[in-house]
Amino acid sequence: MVKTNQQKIKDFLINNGVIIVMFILVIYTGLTSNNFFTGNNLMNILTNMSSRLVIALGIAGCVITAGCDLSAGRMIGFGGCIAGTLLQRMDYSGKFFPDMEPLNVFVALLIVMVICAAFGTITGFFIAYLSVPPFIATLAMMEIVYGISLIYTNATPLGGYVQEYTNIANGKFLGINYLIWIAIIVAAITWFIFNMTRHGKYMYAIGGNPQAAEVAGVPVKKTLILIYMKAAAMYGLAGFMLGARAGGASVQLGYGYEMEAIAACTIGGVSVTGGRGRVSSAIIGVAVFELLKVALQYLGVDANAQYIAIGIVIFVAISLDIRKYIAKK
Amino acid sequence: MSAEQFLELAGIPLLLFVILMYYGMRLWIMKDITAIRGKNKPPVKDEAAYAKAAGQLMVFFAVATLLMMVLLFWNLYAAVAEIVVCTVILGILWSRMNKKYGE
Repeated sequence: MVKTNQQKIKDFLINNGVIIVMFILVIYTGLTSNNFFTGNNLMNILTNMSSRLVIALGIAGCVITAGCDLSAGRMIGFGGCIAGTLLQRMDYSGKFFPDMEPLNVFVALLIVMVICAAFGTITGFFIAYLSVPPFIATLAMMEIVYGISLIYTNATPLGGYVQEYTNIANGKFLGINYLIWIAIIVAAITWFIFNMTRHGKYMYAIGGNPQAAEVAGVPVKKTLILIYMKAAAMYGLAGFMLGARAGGASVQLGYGYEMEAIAACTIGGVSVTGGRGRVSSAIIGVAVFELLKVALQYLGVDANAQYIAIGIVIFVAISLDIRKYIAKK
Repeated sequence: MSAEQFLELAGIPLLLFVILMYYGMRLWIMKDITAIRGKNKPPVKDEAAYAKAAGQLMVFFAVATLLMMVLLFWNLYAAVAEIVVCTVILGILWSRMNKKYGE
């Protein structure tokens, strides 16, 4: 059935309703607040977006295969804590490993990403080989990682980082914060993986129809493990970035970020039913979400009411996504 | 211990317990397998048996989560060991259940 222009416009407005409403809200906030449309605020938003984007890009891979990763928040906390313990100053009174010299920042980052990736591999194994639904496998991993984080840190907040580490959040290259550069590099690598590699094509095939993909010779199990491993490595990186920005970390770091990331992906156009989604979807989703939060702060909305607003946005975005899926069927 | 301290330590396992019980009951009692399989997955061999077994496994894991929460206040190592063992058991049982009643 050929759609009329009116129907096309109506569909566009419904499918992109959340983004349009956010856009209007941002314009309204900009017009009513003096400091909203300023360079500093834009940089601040982009810096806040950077770690969220890394998380969303990790989760996007899982969501494209019709999965999810609820362990992301705990992995971020764990990653931040590992980085924190490896990068504390020698003269810091509460140093976690008193006799250990702080490691090179990049070595610490590598350790964090490898450890998180190992946990992601286990999650992927449960999903691919034991057929455990992603949400149950990742819930289980969430608890395991939470428990291990508590044991590792003894539930103690960490601080006293070396300057090389905190400089990652404060330093700039070409006037742009290092964190933003990291997010740009991760987005570029993810774009390459999604669009230019066989792994990316397998990922979309699995999301579209796992049975058909298997029949077509796609190594479904291996691909799923790789997706969850890659995602977990990204959570580790995000934890590292958040730790640098906050100048400290605790097991509570990243609490609830997985929900925001899934919501951001859905708002941007990564389908929760699988098979659809691009890097640009995650970028749009994270930007919309971050702008919403900042706009609500500028408008002086109560912190608890902000949670309600964000919850409504998530609900509407997922409802619209399911509507798109039903319409497609 | 204040309520805030309690929630800080036990909030996550407690939340997971509620979520798992909800899905467990949806499967076990309401036989709603779309709760965990989604709507675009192929049908299972025996829907009623699959729903019952999956629901029971979810409730098992919910109880494991609750036990972890209790153990967190006693010994962290015991809590982590308990949840790791229960996760492995869940994985093995789920795999068997899927082979028997699933795809």
